[in-house]
Amino acid sequence: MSISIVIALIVIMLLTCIIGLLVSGQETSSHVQTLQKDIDEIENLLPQTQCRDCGFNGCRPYAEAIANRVADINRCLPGGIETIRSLSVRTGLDVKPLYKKTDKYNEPQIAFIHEEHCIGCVKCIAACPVDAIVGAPKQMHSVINAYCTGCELCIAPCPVDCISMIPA
Amino acid sequence: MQKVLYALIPGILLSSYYFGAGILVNCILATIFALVFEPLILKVRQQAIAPVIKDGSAIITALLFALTISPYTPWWVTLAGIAFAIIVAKHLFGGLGNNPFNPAMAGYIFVLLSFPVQMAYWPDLSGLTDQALTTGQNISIIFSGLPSKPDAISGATPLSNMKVELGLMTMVSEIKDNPLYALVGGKGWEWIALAYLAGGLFLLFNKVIRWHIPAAVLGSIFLLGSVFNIVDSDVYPSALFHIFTGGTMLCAFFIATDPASSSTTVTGKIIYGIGVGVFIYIIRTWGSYPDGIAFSILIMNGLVPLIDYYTRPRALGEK
Amino acid sequence: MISVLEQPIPFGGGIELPPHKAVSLAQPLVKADLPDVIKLPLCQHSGLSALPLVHVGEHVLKGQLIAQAQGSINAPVHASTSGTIKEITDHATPNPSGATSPCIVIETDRQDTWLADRNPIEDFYSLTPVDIQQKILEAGVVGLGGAGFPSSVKIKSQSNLNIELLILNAAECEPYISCDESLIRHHVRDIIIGMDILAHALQVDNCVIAIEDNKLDTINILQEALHSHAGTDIKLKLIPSRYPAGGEKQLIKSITGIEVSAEGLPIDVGIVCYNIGTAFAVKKAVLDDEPLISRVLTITGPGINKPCNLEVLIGTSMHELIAQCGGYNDQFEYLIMGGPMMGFRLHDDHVPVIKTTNCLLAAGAEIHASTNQPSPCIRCDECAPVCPVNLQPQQLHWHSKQHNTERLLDYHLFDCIECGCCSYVCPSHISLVDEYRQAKSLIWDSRRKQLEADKNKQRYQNKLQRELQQKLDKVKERTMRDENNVDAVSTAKNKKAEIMAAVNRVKAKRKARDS
Repeated sequence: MSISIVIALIVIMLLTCIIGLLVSGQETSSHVQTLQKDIDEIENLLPQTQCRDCGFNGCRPYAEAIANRVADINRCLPGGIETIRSLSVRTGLDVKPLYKKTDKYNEPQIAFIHEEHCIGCVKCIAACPVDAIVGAPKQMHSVINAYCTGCELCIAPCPVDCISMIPA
Repeated sequence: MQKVLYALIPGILLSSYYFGAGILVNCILATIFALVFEPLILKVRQQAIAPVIKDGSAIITALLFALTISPYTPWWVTLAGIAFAIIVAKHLFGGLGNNPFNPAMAGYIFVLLSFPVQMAYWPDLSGLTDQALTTGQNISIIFSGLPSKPDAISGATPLSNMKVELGLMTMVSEIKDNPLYALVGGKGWEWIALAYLAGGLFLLFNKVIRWHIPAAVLGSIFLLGSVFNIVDSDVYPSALFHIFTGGTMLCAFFIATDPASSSTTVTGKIIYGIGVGVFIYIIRTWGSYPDGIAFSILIMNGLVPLIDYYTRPRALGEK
Repeated sequence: MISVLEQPIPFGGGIELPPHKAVSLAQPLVKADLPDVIKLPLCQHSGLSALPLVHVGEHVLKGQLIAQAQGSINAPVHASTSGTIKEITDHATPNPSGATSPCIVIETDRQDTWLADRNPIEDFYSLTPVDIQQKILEAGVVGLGGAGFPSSVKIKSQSNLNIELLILNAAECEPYISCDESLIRHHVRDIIIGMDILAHALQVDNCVIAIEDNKLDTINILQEALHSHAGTDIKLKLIPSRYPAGGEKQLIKSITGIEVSAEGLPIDVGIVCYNIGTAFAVKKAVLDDEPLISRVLTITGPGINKPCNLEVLIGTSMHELIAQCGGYNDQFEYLIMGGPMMGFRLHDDHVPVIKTTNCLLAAGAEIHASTNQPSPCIRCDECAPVCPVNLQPQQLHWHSKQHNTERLLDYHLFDCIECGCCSYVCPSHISLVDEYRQAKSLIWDSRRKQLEADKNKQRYQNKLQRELQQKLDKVKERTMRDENNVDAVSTAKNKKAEIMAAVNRVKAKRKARDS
């Protein structure tokens, strides 16, 4: 009787040790990797407009913040409720309304440079995150409509206020 | 859904004939409760009431529930069962068409587990004792509870008697000498089963249900029953006994075929039906409950999403 | 090797529908009146829009090329009659959304003068397949069955694929539509010549005309015509009349037993399908040198006074045709372009007939059951057995409600041919096909967005990379400059040291001499 208990104990202890080792090895080796994978996958769900409306310095930093659970999933304004839904599915966090109300992305808009006023200062080109503005110093600049995401980041830097948003 | 109601009529009438008017009273009570709870919960869920009531699914749920419980079941057990069926099993899961579990069976399991004593007494059909209750007596049982000595007016069902006797190592052939048993199934029960079979065939010919699930349920019980009966006919009663006793027919044609909670693909239906049949046989033969219909249905209901997904038919031209 | 089955087999699924065709077939096929204005949309086919070649005020002749094809899957547009170009602007065109698209508007001069330099020929066997393909392309012939796929493309792909079977689709399985039947009754010889031309162009000798077995009169006419026909050997196959027997893939399965997958085209298995009307248009294009400027159109339905088939110039406004058919009666509810199953509701009848308009159905109250309030799906499984593609409509319904793209793809959403059988049989009156269309467009939309996002990301990363490079360059430049400075300083120091050393040496020498 007692010998069988001892055998059972030994078997269970061995099993525990082996499984524990296996599991712990898995955990430590993959923890960093899972975080990286999380960030990559979350970033892929974001619309990549790099508009910084979320308060982060681009889509990647926001994805990192979500993956580390320091930012909520409702901060992507251009993505809207669809992005919140897909983020919710990916992260398991609750769907909630956008963190602030905005009309900016109701209708698709693109930037338009009033070329007669453009002085060719290249400030908007530097501001555009997605290379949608072409031009050279002292030359007139122009927006490539297909590339513009409507983030409005080019508007503030323009010294002569010659950029406005038009319906796409 | 109307046709399902028609198809249930012979079963209800024959059950009432054998078990007394308690069955009818239970049917009426359950229907009333269902028609009270359904609009109530729809109101709470802020949904349109008329189309869902018109659909008749609440009445079917109520009738199926009433037909699985004993005519001696107190009214408040029916109330609790229907409340659980309609509110929890049906509407908390999204209402008509969205319920993963058969509401009637979920309600039945709920009361079976909650009030085992009240559910245990069935009328004695053996004819040994002369305790045919009058309609008034039966109704008074439903509304004011069982008499202090319930054993005097009740008896075992064939399935529970079989289970007990087999536990006492009695041989099947000896057990069946009891007047509780008739030609193939239980006395009375076999005629009720035939009535349900007739109703089921009516549904089949009217294309309300398809043949796959009933065939798979009955077929798998028949196969299992026959195999074990051939192996040892002293311990395992015949396949026909299983089919014509208890709620097998009701289950095969009316409960397992509930569209919302059963599988939708052809292969899936057959797998689902076989699953139900196998679990019924297993629970009856080796489980601790005399009949296993409700449990089998709920187990297979839980597997339906999985079955449906893995039995997707091949689309035209798909490799 | 493809073998045509002796007896066509059922394609699986589908439903039997009342044909409602006799009423429009009772009238002979006549030409519609010459309209005052012709509106020709630049995109009447699948593929890119055509490029206008004319300018406002220019006088054009009947059959003149007025918009040129661009891209590989495309068809040009020709003037349907002679007249003056009035404008080239956006107008409402027949499409489900009611959106506008660019059209060339011609004010007709009522002369209907043909282009002068037409070149009809007698013998098409002297032409090479490439010549025929070119002629069909230039004539702007597109599939007249519904999708409007440019017909020349199917011949073009012939050059690198081995086509074994040519099917002419005369099934026309949707209720009410009878334009193909009417065309056969009046132009059976031209259709068969058209088929000869197609067979020659595709270098096939296995030809089949498929027609539903309940169209007895038309079958007789076809049989007689085929009997006295001397060209290619053409077999007539009667397929069971069951909607959607005329769906391309359903038809191929019925006739050959071969299943063409959703991603695949019939051409992948060596089969080419043309509509009867297309064969007629091909004959006119190749032999008569007549571009596709008219088509046969059924105007029918309970809401119209005189149902009939008309030969209509492309670009004629629908309301004029309706007026020629006696106008709407008091049963009329709304106008559908196409049949009751797959057609779509038009918001306005002041839109032009385009190359793919096969039917105008003036629906009465009873045609679409969509007026019934839908009730929840109870998974009754009426829909799955009727699906001709063998899908699970109730699961698609469930997952499209949930916007579950992954599951929708698992359940082959994109295999759905939108035939409408499931919606038709649904006892809960759920508009299943509308849901699938919506789900499809949502998925397309999200794929497009994903593509855009990927491109944005790429450009953003390029920009970051570039900025980093610029910064690095600047830093490098600065350090280079600094290093140069260091050199300069050190050389200066060296020089000083040298001078000092020299001075010291001189001093030392002087000292030595002095002492």
